[in-house]
Amino acid sequence: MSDQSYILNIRNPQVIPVVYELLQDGPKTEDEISDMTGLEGSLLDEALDGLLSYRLATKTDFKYNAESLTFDTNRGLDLQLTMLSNVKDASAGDNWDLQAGLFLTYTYFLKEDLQYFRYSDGALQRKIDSYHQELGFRPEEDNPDDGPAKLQKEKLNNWAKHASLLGLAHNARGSEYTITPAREVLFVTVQLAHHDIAAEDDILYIKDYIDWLNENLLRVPFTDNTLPKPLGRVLYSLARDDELALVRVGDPPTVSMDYVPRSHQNVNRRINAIQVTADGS
Amino acid sequence: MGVNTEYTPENELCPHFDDINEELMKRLSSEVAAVRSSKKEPFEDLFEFTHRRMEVYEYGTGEIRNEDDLYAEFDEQELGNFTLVIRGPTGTGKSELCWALSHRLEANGRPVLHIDKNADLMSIMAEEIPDFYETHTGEQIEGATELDRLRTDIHEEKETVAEYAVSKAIIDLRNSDATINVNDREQIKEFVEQKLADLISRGEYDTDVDFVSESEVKNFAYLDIFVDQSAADAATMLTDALWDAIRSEYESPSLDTLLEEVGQAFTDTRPVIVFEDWSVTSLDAIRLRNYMERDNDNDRWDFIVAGTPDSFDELEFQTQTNEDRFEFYETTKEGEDQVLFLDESSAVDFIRPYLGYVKSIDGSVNYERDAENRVTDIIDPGERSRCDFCGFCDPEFRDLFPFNSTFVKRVFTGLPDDDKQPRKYVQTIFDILSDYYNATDDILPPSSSNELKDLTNDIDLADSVYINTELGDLAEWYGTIRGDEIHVDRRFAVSFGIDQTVDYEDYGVIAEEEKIRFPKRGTTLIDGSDDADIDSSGDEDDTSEGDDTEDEGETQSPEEKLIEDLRSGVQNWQAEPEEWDEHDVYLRKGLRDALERLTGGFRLWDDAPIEYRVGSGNPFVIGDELGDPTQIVIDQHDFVRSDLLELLEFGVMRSEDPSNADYDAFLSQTGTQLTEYAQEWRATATQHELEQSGRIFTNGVDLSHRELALSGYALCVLLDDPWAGLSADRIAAAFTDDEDLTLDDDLATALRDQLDKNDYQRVRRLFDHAEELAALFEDEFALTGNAVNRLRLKQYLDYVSPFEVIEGLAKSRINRVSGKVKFVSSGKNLTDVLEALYYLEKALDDVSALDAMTVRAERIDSELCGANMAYIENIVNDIQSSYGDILSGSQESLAKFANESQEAVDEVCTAAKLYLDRRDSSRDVDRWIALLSGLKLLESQTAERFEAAREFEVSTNGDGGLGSEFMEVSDEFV
Repeated sequence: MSDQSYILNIRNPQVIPVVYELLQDGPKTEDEISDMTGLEGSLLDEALDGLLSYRLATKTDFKYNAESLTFDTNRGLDLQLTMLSNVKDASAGDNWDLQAGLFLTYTYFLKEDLQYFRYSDGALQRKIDSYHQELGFRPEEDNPDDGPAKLQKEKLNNWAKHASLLGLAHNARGSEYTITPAREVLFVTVQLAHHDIAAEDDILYIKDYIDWLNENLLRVPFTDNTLPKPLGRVLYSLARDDELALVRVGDPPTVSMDYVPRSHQNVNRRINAIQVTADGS
Repeated sequence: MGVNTEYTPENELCPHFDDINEELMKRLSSEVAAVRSSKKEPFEDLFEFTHRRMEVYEYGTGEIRNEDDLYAEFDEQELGNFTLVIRGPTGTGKSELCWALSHRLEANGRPVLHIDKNADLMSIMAEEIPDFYETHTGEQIEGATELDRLRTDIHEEKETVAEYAVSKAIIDLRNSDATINVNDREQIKEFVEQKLADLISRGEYDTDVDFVSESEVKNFAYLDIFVDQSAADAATMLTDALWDAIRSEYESPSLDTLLEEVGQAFTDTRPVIVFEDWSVTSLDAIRLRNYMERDNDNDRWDFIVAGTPDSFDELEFQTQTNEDRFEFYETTKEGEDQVLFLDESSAVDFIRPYLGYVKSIDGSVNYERDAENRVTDIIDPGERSRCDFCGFCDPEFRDLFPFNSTFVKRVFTGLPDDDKQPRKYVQTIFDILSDYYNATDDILPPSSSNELKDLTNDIDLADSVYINTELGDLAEWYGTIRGDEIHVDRRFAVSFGIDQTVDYEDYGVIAEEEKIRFPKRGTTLIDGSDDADIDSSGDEDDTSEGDDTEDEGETQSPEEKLIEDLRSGVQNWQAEPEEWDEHDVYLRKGLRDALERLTGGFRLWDDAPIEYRVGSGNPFVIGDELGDPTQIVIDQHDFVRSDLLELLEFGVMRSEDPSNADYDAFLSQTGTQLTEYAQEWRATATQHELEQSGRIFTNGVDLSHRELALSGYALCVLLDDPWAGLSADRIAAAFTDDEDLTLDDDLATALRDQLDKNDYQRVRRLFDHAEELAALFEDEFALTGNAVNRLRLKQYLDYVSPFEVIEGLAKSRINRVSGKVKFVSSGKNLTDVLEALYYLEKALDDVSALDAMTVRAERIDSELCGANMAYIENIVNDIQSSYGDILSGSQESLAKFANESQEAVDEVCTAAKLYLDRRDSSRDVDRWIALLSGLKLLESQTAERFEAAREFEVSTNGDGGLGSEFMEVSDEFV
């Protein structure tokens, strides 16, 4: 058996950062982790599985060792970004890793412009499962005898918890969630993308930003230059609050963002780029 | 005809606007007719080009009269003065008519003096009239120099002039028949000084300037200087006295005498004077009116006087005397706003020359007109004119571009009923044009101008169209109705850059070669089903405007009908929410209920155990409204039309048929945007109620509700069992244990002894809130319902002393936490729980370490700790068998101690060590643990039995005694 579990079987992803923090002080055995955190039983198993699945730790000689974080933004988001990045790295191209269900499910919501869901919605579960199948993502259950994992109620519930932890979704109440990327996550990723692309000015073309996200963290649909509404709405809020501007610069085609009002000075009528420092242009 | 793609207007603008003269744009859009009426080159024909001859009502008869009729009133051979009065509400064309008549009179050789509506009286008397006189006679008017001196003095020596005027007026009044009593001359002087300032300030529309009014006499006692005079008479007498005093000093004529002198200088013609705004002359108005009305054949003036009905009230101008020398006309019927020369049917032709003038300069646009100067047709463009070589426009909109006739007509019909007046109409069109023409780049189509947001528009398109705001706007303002479709000439989409960027199919719209077809609400287009051409006249298919949902009406629910009725007004609500009450109610309801859902019932954070009871109010305000600190500001302009329509529908359903409101559908479309508001509200409310500096704690205490959550629960845990200490493990164990936390019995007994009744009850009451404190703790420190984040707990315990935390609570501040902040599970107010913690600290503050605690702890530590209770039990049995016959009745206590379990004794020993180890610790929390442990030790049954046993003596034998033997034996086996 792989040292990784199917990520959507982890029901309590919130325990993962706790153990990762503990491992910052040095490698620990399972018993030591249990003693120091008080985690035990299945909760401890989930924490350890989660660490391995998100590639936040490796296990050698019965000890768990923390891996260093990929990002260093000083904004309290480095762990989440690293978790996303590690999952994305492991699922490069169409060679789905066991964990690709994490971002592929998000892709489904963005693609369908579905900003709200209940994890208990059976029809939705089946649609997402079909989408996974269409893409060829068919992970084995942790117990191979159980066959391919289907995205059913429990897994969608788990996915929603992971997505919330990672700053991609918001729990409204009970089983209800909205697809709302945390504005800090988008702001930081815009800065990171702009830095990585090494543009000489303060312009980040939206197409380049999406490419960066797709290479590093997610799989964002960008058909016909249409930016999914959840991302675009949060970018608009950042523009409205003068943290960036949505502008049209140069030749790249304009991006479809019909859902964004053009009444603000930081939002141009036609948009193809993000000006990373808003100056009211 | 296809779209001419060879020539697209450069920069998406009509080439006529590429190099438009700034001055011309200002003059065209000026709301003041005088500016447009200027005969200054190079636009000296502007007024004539744009002026549409007006019709007005004759006062009294209501008969309709045109400009020719009015012009005919001015008879050059007439004797005496003649006055033509034009009355009407603001913006109904009074100034326009003044200018039209004065231009015509001037063209026919009359000397015309046009008094601008912003002129001040002193300028009129000292400058305009003397200049007019000099221009037409070549001579200077007598008294002009004095007038100029007066004007200069008022400008530069206002105080001196006022002092002189007041002094002289008072002396003159004393010398008259009037009896006066002046109490405060200084205040009268200051009052007059201010009035002089008004005299030389620029006049304001409808503002009367008078020295002293009746109401001022009533309001300012220092002005009421007359004995036995009414306020009205007092005002007149004082005004006259002041004005006469000034005139006598400057030997200046009054306006009437000035005009009399000037008028009589014209012997072969009659001069004309135009008061565009009657109110500016009100200081001298009564004299002037008397001059106009007087019956003197030597008078020569023709007056044209315009003003609002109110501005004539005081002058009683509508006197029935001298009818032959006065003619009254009104631009609207009394009490109405509708002018005769502009309505829905004439709106397009009315505006054509205004827009066409820009293009007339190079010969591109000219019109055929009728006798009233009304546009009847557009003439082909002149050769080599821009329109001639451009060819982009259709003749129907060539002069109107960037508008078409549908657009301008809808602007007129969309104006509020009381604003359907020429000035407002022209101004709105030019405001839109200015936005369009002034934009440097990224130009919004005129149909998306903010100026349109205030106007109504009944076009209702399929929801799919509104997803693209610009596309929806384009159809609403440019589109003509054709059955179930709205058609827009494709050239507009090309010109505004929409055609190049929009994939029409995405919005259920079909773009054909010449036109773009939009579906009305409730319909879907079928490709190729339409073969109607665009009707270039802009006329609607009048069978269908506004009635396209007739069929639906029969099956519509009341809610659906309501939604349909309200849809077209959402953009108006967006512009002025307070003006659109019904929309406002439903949209706010929708927002409120959505936010309630997205915050899990207004919980202060994700899964928070506390909520903010918003009640029937809203957690937000809209736009510029003032809110309370827990309310966020939602900018209504953050919504695109399609989302606003969804919100309206949701709000109507939540109000009228709540159970059928579709949260899923609504939030699927808008969940992200609304979640951002929900998150912002949570942060705002939490910050205000809990986190802002000094909100709960006294100044300088840098703690948050997280430390408080830990402290509250930790205190419950400690008071439940002080001997167990206060480690992360202990707290975690207490949390995962199913047992309810209660005040330890022994500790309770000790505290009852130590504290007064009130304080004791305060300690007990903490446990009334144990459930709430556990909930706060769980929220901050639990990983799941039965697992605590011990790492975090340890980190906090390293620096948090629960006692210091609650010591930092400030009662007055706690009480300012809103009563709306409540625990979800119990409905208790957060303030009640915080108060319990506050009073706990005050109650325990009176507890002090006692000598008895130390004595007992030391004795237990030295004498009991390590005892083997099984052995002790044997010893006691031996003693009883040896001394049974002489043991007193108190042997029972010895037996009781022997029956204490080993576990109980160990526990007591641990407690004693806990007390001794920590009583002098440098850490506050340790000293408290020691204190509470010591208190419990005083009441501990095991400790008590131990004490009783060591005191035991054989009552009949004085040497040694059982007690000492017992201790000796004990010592041996410890």
